[in-house]
Amino acid sequence: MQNVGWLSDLKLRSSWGITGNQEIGDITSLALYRTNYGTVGQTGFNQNTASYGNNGTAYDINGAGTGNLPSGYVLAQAANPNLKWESTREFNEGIDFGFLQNSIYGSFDYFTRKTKNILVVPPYAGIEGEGESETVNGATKSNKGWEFAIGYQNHAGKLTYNIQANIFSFHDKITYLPATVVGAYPGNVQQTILGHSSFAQFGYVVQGIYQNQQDVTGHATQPGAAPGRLMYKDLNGNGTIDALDQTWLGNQIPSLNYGLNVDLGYGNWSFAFFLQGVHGGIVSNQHKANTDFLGLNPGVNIGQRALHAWTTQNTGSDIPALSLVDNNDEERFSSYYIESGSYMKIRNARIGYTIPAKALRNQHVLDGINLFIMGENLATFYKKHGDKAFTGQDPENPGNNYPIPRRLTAGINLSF
Amino acid sequence: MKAYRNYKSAILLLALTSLTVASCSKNFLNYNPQGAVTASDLTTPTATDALVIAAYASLGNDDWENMVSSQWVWGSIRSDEAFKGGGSITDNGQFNQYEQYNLITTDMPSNDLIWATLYAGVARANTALRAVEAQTTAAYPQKIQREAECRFLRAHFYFLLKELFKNIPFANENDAADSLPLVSNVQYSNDSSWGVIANDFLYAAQNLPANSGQVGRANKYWAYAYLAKTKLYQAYQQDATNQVTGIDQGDLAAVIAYADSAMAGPYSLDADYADNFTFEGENGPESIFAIQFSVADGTQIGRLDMADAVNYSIASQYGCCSFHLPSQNMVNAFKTDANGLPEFTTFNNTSLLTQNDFLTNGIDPRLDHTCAIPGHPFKYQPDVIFDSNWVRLPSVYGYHDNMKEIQPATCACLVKVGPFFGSSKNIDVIRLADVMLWKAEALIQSGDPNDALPLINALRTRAANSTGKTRFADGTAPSNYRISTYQPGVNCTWDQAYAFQALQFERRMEFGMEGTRFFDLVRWGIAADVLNNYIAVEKTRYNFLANAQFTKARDEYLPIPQTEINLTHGLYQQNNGW
Repeated sequence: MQNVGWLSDLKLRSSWGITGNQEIGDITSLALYRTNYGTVGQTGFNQNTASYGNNGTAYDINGAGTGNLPSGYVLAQAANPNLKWESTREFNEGIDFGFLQNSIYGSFDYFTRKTKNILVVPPYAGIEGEGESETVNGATKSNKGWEFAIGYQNHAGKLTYNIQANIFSFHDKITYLPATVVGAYPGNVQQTILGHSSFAQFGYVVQGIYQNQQDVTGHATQPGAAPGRLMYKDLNGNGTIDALDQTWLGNQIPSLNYGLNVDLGYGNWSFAFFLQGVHGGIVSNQHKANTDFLGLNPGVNIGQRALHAWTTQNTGSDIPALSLVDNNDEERFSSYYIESGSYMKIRNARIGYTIPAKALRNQHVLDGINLFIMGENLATFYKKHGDKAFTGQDPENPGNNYPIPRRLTAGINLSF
Repeated sequence: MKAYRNYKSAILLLALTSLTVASCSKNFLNYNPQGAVTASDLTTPTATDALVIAAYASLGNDDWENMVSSQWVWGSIRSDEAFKGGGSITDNGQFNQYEQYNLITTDMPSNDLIWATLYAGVARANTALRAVEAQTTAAYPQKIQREAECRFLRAHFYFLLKELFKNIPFANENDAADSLPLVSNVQYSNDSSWGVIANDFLYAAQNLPANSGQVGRANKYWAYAYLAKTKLYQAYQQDATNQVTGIDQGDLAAVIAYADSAMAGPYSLDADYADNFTFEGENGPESIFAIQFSVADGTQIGRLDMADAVNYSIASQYGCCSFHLPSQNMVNAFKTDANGLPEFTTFNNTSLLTQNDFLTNGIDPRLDHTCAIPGHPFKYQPDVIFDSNWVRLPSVYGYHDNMKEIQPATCACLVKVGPFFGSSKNIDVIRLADVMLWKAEALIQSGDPNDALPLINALRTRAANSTGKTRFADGTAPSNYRISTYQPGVNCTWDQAYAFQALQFERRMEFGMEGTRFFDLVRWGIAADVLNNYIAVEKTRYNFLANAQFTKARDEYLPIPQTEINLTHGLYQQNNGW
C-alpha cells in the first residue's frame, strides 16, 4: 500500500456497543405512597390545570373550619417489579480516506441502532385513580442512517482553498409496541405509531374552507362548522368529524441534512462562509395561532396574515374567517399547522484582510493587523409559496415568534 | 483534593462493607427505601384511618377548571338558569362549549379531566376500603363504620360520574389496578348501574351510626338521604337514547321510605333561607352532607372552595372574574302572580330589568338570596349595594350576578389566592330542603300529591319568612316580596299535574344557581324541550346564544372522553349520539 501514490490515507472503522439509559428516577420499581398535607397544585391526573386547586390528603373532618387537620396518604407511583434496563445496541461502520497528499479527504459512515425496552411512563385510564403512573419497558425503535463528508484543499498560485461538504440522513421506526404503552405515543383507537417514526405527526386533515351554507350542510357533521371556517376531512366516512378522522400527517425528521464550508485565501485576503440546510420533513407551525386565529390567544398581537383571511369578498383565501371565538375547534392539531421544514441558511460569512508584514516593518509594537467583516445568519431560504409553504418566521424554530437575529460584526485584530 | 480522596476511600469502604453484608443475605438485591411510604407501611389502624381521611379529602380536591365540589358548570350553566360569564366568550372557553351544547366535542380535555378526577375519588375510597377490610374488628373496632364511610364516599363519586356520563365503569375495591381498564362502561344497564350506587349507599345507611361524633364524618342520615336521591334518579327509567320511558313505582316507594329515614335525623330547616349561604350559618341544622372547607389550617392556602374562586365580581373589594351569572330567564322565574304563586307558563313573557320592575311585580324573596341585582343590597349587607359597575361584560352577559356561593369581602372565610378568592364556607351537597322535595316528587309521581303539599309549602313559608337579611338599612325591601303557600281550592287546584309543575318550579326557586337544575331536567326527561325553548327566547336577549342548540338524545350527557376510549383501547362504548 505504501507504493500507492495517489492514496494517502485509508482507514476502515467498525464499532459495536450496547448502552443503557440512566434517565430514570430512583426506586421506580416500587409502589410508593405519599402524604400531601395541603400544597396546591394541579388537580388533574392526566392533564394540567390551573395551579390553585387542592389535591391534598388532609380534610377538616371535625368541621372546625380551621386549625390542624388529620391527613392521609395517596398513591404516588405504581409498582413494576419487572422493570429493567432500556438498552441501545449500535453498530457503526465507517471509512476514512485521503487522496493525493490528503488534498481530497473524507469519510463515510453507516450506522444502525436498535433501542429496546424503551423506558416510558405511559398515561393510564382514569378508572385506575391517582398515582398509577408506572415506569414500564415498552417499545422498540430502530434507527438507520449514513453520513458522507468530503473535503478538498489545495492552492493555485496565490489562491488557497479548503472546501468541506457533508450530507447525512437518518430515519427511525417504532418496530414493537406493546399495548401498555400505546397511549404514550400519538395515535387513536384504530391507529398506533407502530411502523411509524417516533417523530411522526398525527391529526386532522383540512379539506378547505366552507364557502357557504350549502358546503356546511353538504359536509359531514362538524361541531362549529360555518361558512369561512375550516372544513375537516371525514376520513372514515361516517358522516361525523370525530377523533377517528385523524391520520399521519408526516415526519418531522428531514430526509437530508447538509452543510458546506468554504475557506478561501488570496494573498492577504481571506474569505469564508458556512452554509447549512435540511431538506424534506415537516414542521408544526404553532405560531399560526398568533397569525391566523384571533380567538386562540385573546389579547395578544396578531400577525399580518390575519389581513388576508377569508371573507365573503375574499373567498379564495385559505386562511379561515376571522373570529374572536374558536367554536370550530381550529386549535385542534391538523394539517393546517403542517408546513414544509426545508430550509437552507448562510450561517456565517467572513471577509478579512491582513495588512502585509512589510508595512509594519518600521516599528516594534505590532506584529500584525487583521481587518474583517463578519456576518451571522445572513440569509435563510425556505418554501414561501405553494403546497405546505412555511408561513412563520424561521422553519428551524417553527414555534418561535421571533426570527433569529442577523448579526454583522466589523473588527480589527491587533497582534503585539 | 484531600476531600476528594476521602470521598473515594469512603466509596471503597462502602463497597467492601456491602460486599460483606451481601454475602450474608440471599436478598441483598431487595432494597427497602428509607423515607418513602410503601403499602406495607400502611397496615396499622392509624394508617387505615388516615387512608379514609384521604378519601374524604377528595370531596373538595378541585378548582374551577375541574369542579367536583361545586357543580356550577355541570348543573347550572348547562341549564336555563345561568351563563358562563367571565372576561369574554372565550375566557375559559370550554364552559362556553358546554353552555352552547353543539360545540362540545368528544376530545375536550375538560371532559377527561373531570372523569379522571372523579375516578381519583373512587380510587381513594377503594384504597381505604381495602385497608379497612384487611383489619380485624379486634384491632380496629371501627372497621364496619369505616367500611360504610368508604362505600358512601365511593357512591358519591359514582353518582357524580353517572349524572355526567351515564355509562360508566365501576371499580371494585378488590379489582387489581391492571384489571381496571378492562372493566366495560356498559357492563350494567342504566337501571342496574343506579342499583350498584344505591347498594353502596344502602350498606352505608345500615352500618353507619346515627351520630358519627364528627361534623364532617358520614352518619346514617347522610346515607339515607343520598339513597333517596339515587332511587329517585333510578325511578325515571331511560332508554338508550336518554328518553324517559316510565317511572318505577317501586323505586318511588323506596324514595319515600329512605327520605323519611333521613328526615328522622336531627335536622330542621334553617329559620332563614340565608343561613344556608353564609359562613356563619355553615353546618347549621339544615345541612346534612357538606364538604368541609377550612382556612388557616397549615396548608398552603387553606383547604378552600376553589371551584367558585372565579365567580367573584370585579367590584374593588373583589377584583375577579365574574363567572357564573344568572340568565334573564332565571331572574324572571322569581316573578309571582297576584296570589303569590309562580307564573308557571308566562313568567318569561316580560323581563325584570329596571329597579322599578322588581317593585311592581310580585317577587319570590329567594331572588335576593340568589341573584345580585344592581341597586339591591349585596349578600345580606344593607349598606353594600350591588352596582352595575361591578359587572364585567354586560354587553355580552347582562347585569345580573350570582350571590349564593359568594361571601362578603369582610368574611373571615375569604382568602385571596392570586387574583382569585377562595372561601372556607362549606359547600352543601345535601341539605334538608332537597330531601323534602325528593320525597314530595316521589309522592306526586306515585299519585299522592296531597302528602307532597305540606313539604312544598314548608319551603314556601320559610322563604316568606326569609326577608330580614335582604333589606336596605332603613328596612325597606329592594323587591316587592309576594309569596304564598299553595292552598288547594283557594289559590290553586292541587291535582297531580299541577302539583308536579309546582314541584318543578319549587326546585328551581329553592336551588337556583346551586348546580342541580340541569340534572333535574334530564331526570324529568324534558331537557331538550325546556332548554331549546329557553335558547329560542334568551338568544333574542343575548346574542352569544345565537347558534346554541341542545341536541335531543345526545346532550343529556357528556361524551365518554375520547382519551379514556383510547386508553382502554376502544373498550368503552361512546354515549348515544356522540
